[in-house]
Amino acid sequence: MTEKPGQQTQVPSLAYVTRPGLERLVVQNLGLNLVTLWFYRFWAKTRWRRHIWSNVSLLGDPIEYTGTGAEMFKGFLVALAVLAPVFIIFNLWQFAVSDSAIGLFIEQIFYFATLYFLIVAARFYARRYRLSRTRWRGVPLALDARFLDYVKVHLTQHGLALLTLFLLWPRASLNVEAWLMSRTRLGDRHFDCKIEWRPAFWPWITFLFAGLLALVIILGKLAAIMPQVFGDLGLPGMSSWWAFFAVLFAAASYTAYRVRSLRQTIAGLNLGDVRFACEARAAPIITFIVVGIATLLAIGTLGALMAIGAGSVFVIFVVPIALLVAHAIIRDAWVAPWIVDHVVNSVTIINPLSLNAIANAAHDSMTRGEGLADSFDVGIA
Amino acid sequence: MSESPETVSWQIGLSEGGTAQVPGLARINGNDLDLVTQDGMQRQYPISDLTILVLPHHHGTRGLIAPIPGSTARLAFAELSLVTALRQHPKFNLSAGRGKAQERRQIMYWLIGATMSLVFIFLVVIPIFSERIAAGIPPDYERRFGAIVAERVASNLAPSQAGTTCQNSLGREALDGLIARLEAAAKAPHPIVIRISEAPAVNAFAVPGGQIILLAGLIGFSETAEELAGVLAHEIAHVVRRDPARGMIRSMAVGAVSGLLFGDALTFSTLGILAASLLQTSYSRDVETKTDMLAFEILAKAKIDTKGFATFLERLQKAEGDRSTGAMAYLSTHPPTAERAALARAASQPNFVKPALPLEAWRAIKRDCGQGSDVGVRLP
Repeated sequence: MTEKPGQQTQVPSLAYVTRPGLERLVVQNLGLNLVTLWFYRFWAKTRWRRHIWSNVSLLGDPIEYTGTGAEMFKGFLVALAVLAPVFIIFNLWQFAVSDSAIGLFIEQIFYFATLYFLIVAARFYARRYRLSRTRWRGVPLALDARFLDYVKVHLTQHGLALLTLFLLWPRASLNVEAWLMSRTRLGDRHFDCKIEWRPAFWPWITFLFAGLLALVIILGKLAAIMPQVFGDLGLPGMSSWWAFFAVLFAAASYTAYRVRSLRQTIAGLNLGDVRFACEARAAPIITFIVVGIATLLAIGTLGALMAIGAGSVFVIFVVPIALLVAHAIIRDAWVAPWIVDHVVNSVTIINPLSLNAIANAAHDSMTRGEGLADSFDVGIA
Repeated sequence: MSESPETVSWQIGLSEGGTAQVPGLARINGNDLDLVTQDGMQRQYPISDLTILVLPHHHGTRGLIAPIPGSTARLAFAELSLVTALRQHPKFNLSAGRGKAQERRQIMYWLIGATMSLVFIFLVVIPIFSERIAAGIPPDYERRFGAIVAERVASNLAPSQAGTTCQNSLGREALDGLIARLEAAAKAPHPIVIRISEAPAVNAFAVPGGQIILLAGLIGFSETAEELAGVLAHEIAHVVRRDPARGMIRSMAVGAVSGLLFGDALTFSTLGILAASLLQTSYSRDVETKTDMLAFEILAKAKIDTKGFATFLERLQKAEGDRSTGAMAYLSTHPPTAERAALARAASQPNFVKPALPLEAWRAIKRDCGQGSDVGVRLP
């Protein structure tokens, strides 16, 4: 059994392996979520991340997720304490000025500004939290950026994109991404990131047109169904199939844009003399999502057919819960891991052995949870 | 494996954080895991402190051990036989790798605490909060706001006739007389303003600021002035209790708290709406019972028999079935109809023998303001 030190199995520098037990973990999580009225979700998400993170290995060593459910739950309580008064104040404000158009306008401006600020904060803190809880060989990732600087960059970049009627949105979002990545480090080594945004431009334009087309078809459909609400918009009332395909096309083109953005981001990254390349493709990812949605729709249809026979109580209680369960299993046990697998295995690392020299920085500690992100549903993984 | 664990050594990568990973060999020595790295460093870790974080995978991905609790040091290993040897060791803490008991206990405490605080928020804080806020709303604000809401609701129900139904008619005059009689008996905080909407549903509802929307279908369905007076007294009782303003504040609070609780969009859209509607309806059933009681008092003061309200409810129940019994009761905003009718009948005073309105006046209301009902969507 004694082996010589230094002898190692040849493995790709970055790899995704499928460890057993994910389906069981997802079902256990769901059961506990149902029993605890979804309060267990913080611990469930943590267990899921631990599993998925450990499936990814760099130079043969697994990535480790060290976050805990209790941390996320505390973050959630903080978010609750912040958000509840904010929403109550805006509701009361709206009520107080409800008969004044100018008053309502001002209230709405402040409301959306606050919402923007909260969403940006949620995304920033969620990212910082996830990075600080991700380790490789005991060395954590970290985001060394100040929140207010991030708001400034986000506001400037996206403000300019708005002025171009969203045409230059990829430039804005990839510049913001580059800004964030350039302030990210693994232990004692900083990433450097310069993203070439132009290759993401045409996928974005395709999505913009596909999105507009879907919007026109859906509005035309709604106007045909509910003329008393929408009035005559002068839009063609096309069949539901057209609306379905238009939405599918818009979603597919958005996925293609996101994949292209990801490839550009990874290609723009340097970690010292380590460089990266990504060959992720949109088609398999779209296929995973479509298969997932189709399965969910099939379950929904079956549930609806059973519900027609069983009566209204069944429709109200059982079908939504069954759909929620099916959605969680499909997303967490199949679609999300497939996507991570595809992306991880499409990344090539140039000069990976240089990563062996990475050590911890002098001080690494992060305390903020991601409760705000949970409340706004922007915690992606 | 025939060899004793103490004679076996395993290839290990040691990361202590401050330096890069160093390869070495690990060996079980008594109650410790001894480590010698390639560059001559020696470490000794008590086996009772070790936690297996990740198992190795046959595709070449190594496993991970945390050798010191709470530290960032990690031992990477490729062979599953190390796990077997450690698990067989009497000092190895088998539960350390799998969801620690202490953390589970903590989760339970948090859950119990969170559930208790939620029960407290929904059953105590939100009702008190909405009560206080509603009481603090200046009546003038509430009236102006109510007028806007009533206008919108009326125009949504019957867009073409919003607010104009049965105006300047004998029927409206007679109806106003009946309302004035009930209003005088009620002592409402706002003047009562009744809008009649030309919609066929059998329904009526109060919105903030003393505004009551009465659907023409309900007038059409009512067979006597006492029946209509019963419904009107119920809505006026809502105005007296300021239920619409309180309900509005409560809906906002329940919506906001449910939205925050159930996190992501899909979960919120199913669980949140279910929970919010269940809570709303249970608040609402309690409010409706109290409102009925107050309505009986108003009718008594106005010398109108509550039997009319009982008859109205019984006929409605017969016409559309009672959806507020069995499992569906939890989704109904009103208590069971039969129960309400029985209470109204019990409150009846035998000395009120005079009709609430002269027959001609009642006929004028039916003719000018009523219309064929579709035995509608919600109980009044």
